[in-house]
Formats: sequence, C-alpha cells, structure tokens
Amino acid sequence: MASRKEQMDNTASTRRVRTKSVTETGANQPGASVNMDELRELIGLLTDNGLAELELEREGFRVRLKREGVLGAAGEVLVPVAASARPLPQAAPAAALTPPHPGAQAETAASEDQGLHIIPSPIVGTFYRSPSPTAEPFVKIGSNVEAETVVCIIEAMKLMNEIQAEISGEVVKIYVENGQPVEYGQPLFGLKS
Amino acid sequence: MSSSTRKFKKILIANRGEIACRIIWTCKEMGIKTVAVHSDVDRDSLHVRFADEAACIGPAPSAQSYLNIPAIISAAEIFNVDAIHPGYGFLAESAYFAEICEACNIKFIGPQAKLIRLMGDKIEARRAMAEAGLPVLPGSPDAIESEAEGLKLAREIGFPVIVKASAGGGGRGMRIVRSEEELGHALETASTEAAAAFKDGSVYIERYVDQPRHIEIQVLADEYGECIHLGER
Repeated sequence: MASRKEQMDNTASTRRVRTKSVTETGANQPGASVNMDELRELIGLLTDNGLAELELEREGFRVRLKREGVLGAAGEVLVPVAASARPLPQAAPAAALTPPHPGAQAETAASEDQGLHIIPSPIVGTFYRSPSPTAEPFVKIGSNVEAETVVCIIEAMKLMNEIQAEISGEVVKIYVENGQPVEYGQPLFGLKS
Repeated sequence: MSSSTRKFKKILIANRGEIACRIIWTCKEMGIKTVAVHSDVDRDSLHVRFADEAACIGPAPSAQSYLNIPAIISAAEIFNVDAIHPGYGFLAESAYFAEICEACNIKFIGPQAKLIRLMGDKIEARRAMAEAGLPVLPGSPDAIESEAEGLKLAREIGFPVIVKASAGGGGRGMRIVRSEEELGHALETASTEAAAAFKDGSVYIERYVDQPRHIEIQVLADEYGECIHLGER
C-alpha cells in the first residue's frame, strides 16, 4: 500500500524484469558470479530501458538492481546475494512487486529472509504492537512465541483484533511500525524456528 | 465535508475489472483521488495499477474480499476516503452495505439504503409504483399465504399467471402457471427456491405476458433535486 504517483508516470518503466541468464561462456559452475562487464551491461539495460528494477538469477548467484526515486534519478543499488543453490524464498512478495510500502523494512534483500517464517496480516487495518498505547509491546526481537501467542493488534472498524502467531519460533524481524496501515497478506513478523 | 464543498476528494472503488477502471478514469478526469481494493490474486489487475492507492483486502474468494464488508470499510478508513463507489454487482445493491457506510460516515455512491430495500422487494416496489400512479401488471397485493388464496387471485387475474419470488433476481424463484392444477406445486417450488437463493421465501402472483417487449429506461436522481433519464435500452 503506497502512493503510486511515481509509478503512474510510465507504467512500462516500472515493470519488474526477471531474466534467467543462459551464458555462453559457461559461467554456470557452482559458485560462479557476475563479472564487472556483465554488471555494467545490466546497469545499462536498466537505465537505457527506463526500468526501475532488474533481477538476474543464475545457478548459484542472484543479483538485483534497483533504482530509487523518480525517473531519471541515478543511484543504483547493487544487492549481491551469496552463492546459493537453494530456490529463492517466497518471502515478502508484496515488497517485491510494489513500490515501497510506507515504512516497510521488507525492502531489504529477500535473501536475508531466507528460511524465515513470515506471519502475514490476516486482515486489512492498522497495526499496533501493544495492547494499549502505554503498555509494553506484545513481542520484541528475540521473543519466543507459540502458535497461540498474541503478537500484535490489528484495528479494523474500531475493533481491536488480537492476532495470534499460528506458528512457533523466535521473532527476528518486525516488518511494520506501530500505527502503520497494513493490508491483507502484508508481512508483519519474521520468525526463526 | 462542509456544505460549501460538494466534491469528494478521495473515493474507494469497491469493485474490480472494467467498472472499477471506468470509475477510476472518470475520477482522474474530475480530479478525485482513487483507492482500489483487491484480493491477493488480483494484485496485478489494471484497476489496481490505475488507482492512486491500493490495498489487498483478502484472499481470492469474493466472500472474503470484494464482498467482505468489514475489510472494505477498514480499507476506506485507513485511506480516509470521503466515499465508496460500489460499481455494479458485488455490494452495489446491498442495502446493508449502504447502511454501514452511512453509520461509518462514508458516503455511499448510490441510492439510499431504504430505497435499495424498497426496490429490492418486488411486492413493495409494485406497491410503490402503483401508488405513484404507474400502471403495473394485475397481481397479488401481498405475499401469497395459502394455495386457496393464490387460486382465488389467479382466477381474478386470469391464466396464465406467474409465481415470483419477492426477493428474487436472475430469473430464479419463478414459475409460470397455465392452469389451476399447476398452481399449488408452483407456489411450493418457487417459494423453496427463493428461500434457498434469497433467504426469503415470499412469493406473489402476477399476470404472465407471453410475448412481452422488454424496454428499460434508466432514471437517475441526485440529492440536489436533479433528475434525468438516459433514454430507452
């Protein structure tokens, strides 16, 4: 959920492009990385075609380039991923497909969420970390939770809904801020089990 | 909204597909901000991309997303919209939804709840039209309580008659009756079908027109005394 104003200027330019590269030079050995020439080529691809984001996946390596801000702004961000043969996780799909959510820390590379169990929001509403403004948060980073542990409140239509974890584990990531609007399916917490 | 401002600043479209797109384009022309709601699988829909803001309100099944009143109202409150446009289908003819919008201080772009209810109840709608002086087909003034009552009325109207569900729509809960022997069975089955489909088994009887010409004329009125018709279809 965010303003789509920038995106509206040119929908084609904000298409997220994913390409699986089949290289001619046999750079498919396990642990292979992308060299500087290829990186420059990717950056060129990004800027020449007015793309906002480009992700390249190859056996053992994945790189994601993202241009921040309005069209024309420089400032590519390289997010190299450690060589890994594991399939890419489905973590934080909302962050991958849409422009930055207000205050969403899910903008960090998806690789950091590998192996985390995500607690998504079951409803659309406003996220609160504590039962009341002056009370302690239900959970913090490091808290251990069970399936029935209440991890937060989501307010919808003036009703305070207590949200249970439904999985057990240790809270290692909190994706949203207190008082932030959240949509259905938006990642709230990342748990390590 | 103050009385001097008659224009909405932001509206939420409680629908999807072509109607949502059409409403959003119109809002863009009028300088009104738009909020789209969508189910998780509709995330890449056009109406979501065209709107200024969007929120996922539930999973794919309509009952949990586009028909999910608490989710829609919650999204409307988060985005601080002035009004909700229901489009057509979904909640557009829900008097209940119109009432909830009103209770939550969000303008429902559509008829008042009491009018949705009135016209959604065919017996009441017939009564209202007759009182307004419009010709309606000869029929029972109220729901039929017994087969005997139905028979008496049908004889007055003259066969063929049609049994119709008062809360009906989409052609369900209707039975054409061409002779007295068929009436009892028709009343029963129409009522059962209506109760299952519309939670209301009330049925009435009307003269049946075998070869009608179906002509529709759309009439629109706003709250400021303006009323127009859109011609015949």
